[in-house]
Amino acid sequence: MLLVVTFSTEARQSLRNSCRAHPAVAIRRLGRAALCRETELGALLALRLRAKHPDDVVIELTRPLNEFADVPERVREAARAFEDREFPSTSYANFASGTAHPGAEDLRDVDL
Amino acid sequence: MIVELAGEVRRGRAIDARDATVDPSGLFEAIRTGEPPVRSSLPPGPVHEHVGLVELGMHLPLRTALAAAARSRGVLTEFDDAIARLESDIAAIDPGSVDLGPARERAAAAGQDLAALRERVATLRGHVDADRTAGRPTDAATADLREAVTALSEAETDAIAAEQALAAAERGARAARDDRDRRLGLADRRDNLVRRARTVLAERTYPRFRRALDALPVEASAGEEPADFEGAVTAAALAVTRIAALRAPVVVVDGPFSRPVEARAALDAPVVLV
Repeated sequence: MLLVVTFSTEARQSLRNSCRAHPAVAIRRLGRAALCRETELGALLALRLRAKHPDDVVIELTRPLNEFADVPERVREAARAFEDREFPSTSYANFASGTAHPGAEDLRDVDL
Repeated sequence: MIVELAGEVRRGRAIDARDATVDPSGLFEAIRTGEPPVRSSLPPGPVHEHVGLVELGMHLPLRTALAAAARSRGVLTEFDDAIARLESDIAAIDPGSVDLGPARERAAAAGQDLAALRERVATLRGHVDADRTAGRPTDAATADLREAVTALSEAETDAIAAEQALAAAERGARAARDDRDRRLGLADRRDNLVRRARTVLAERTYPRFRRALDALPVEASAGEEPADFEGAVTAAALAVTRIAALRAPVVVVDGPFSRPVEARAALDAPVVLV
């Protein structure tokens, strides 16, 4: 999908107007951002928005995260275990320390 | 105001233009811009935008106009200090402009070169294999292939460099975007306070508006608050004119006044009757 994010009130309003005019293109309207169909029309609208508001529009290409394909098992395991932790107030740092789960410092600079 | 109509120069704060063929909107615009047929006029303030042309079918956002009228008289609100602080915070942000287009274009071009060269290498490999299979000398084809492989290797290096340059430029742009983010948040807070100020100004000015309506030769019912108003939009516009401090003249089309001086007195504003 195309993720269009705006950075000014004017750009945000233009995005809203564009999504309203092309409801089939805007899959998800998120206020100052929108997820749009990855079609040539979607690209046209996004590029036109950026041309209208240089510096105030960011366009990203996204795809759904498939954690089984894109994320290592140790991360998936840690996420599951952390969610199932005994005390909700425990921070991830405390939760992971003394266990086999990776600490946040070990994960921070590793790209997926 | 000094205006030229029907070949005659007319001046004053109560002008009769009903004998001339005048386009009311054209005159309204001319008053705002100071262009012909207007020779001279005081520049309009914000409230003039709403009530500068009073005619049938006009649109009037009442709360906004009431707030503008209050502001024209110098009325302040408890939100004004905060609004001013936010405006100065917003003005202090200078995000800088980052154009990533050229970097993206270079990365895309490098990628395309790469694809073309890979294809060429594959094709030339095929030539070498074909020659070998057919028992022909492979020297020429191998030389071509070697050349292409070298070019491919260089192109791969270039493509990586272009991608890295783009990634670095993206990271650089992030700081400017953080500033814009902050500015957007401040602008939203400011706009919110401006709306709240507008609401209280409209509410607090309403009694004055109601008295103005009573003093004018119009039929309307004001009620207790702006939402209660019932009557012609032109009646509301005339009442707003009366309570505002207007500098530029108001154009009144087919109004309830028989003479300009009467309109001028009733509206407490310079006026042109059309």
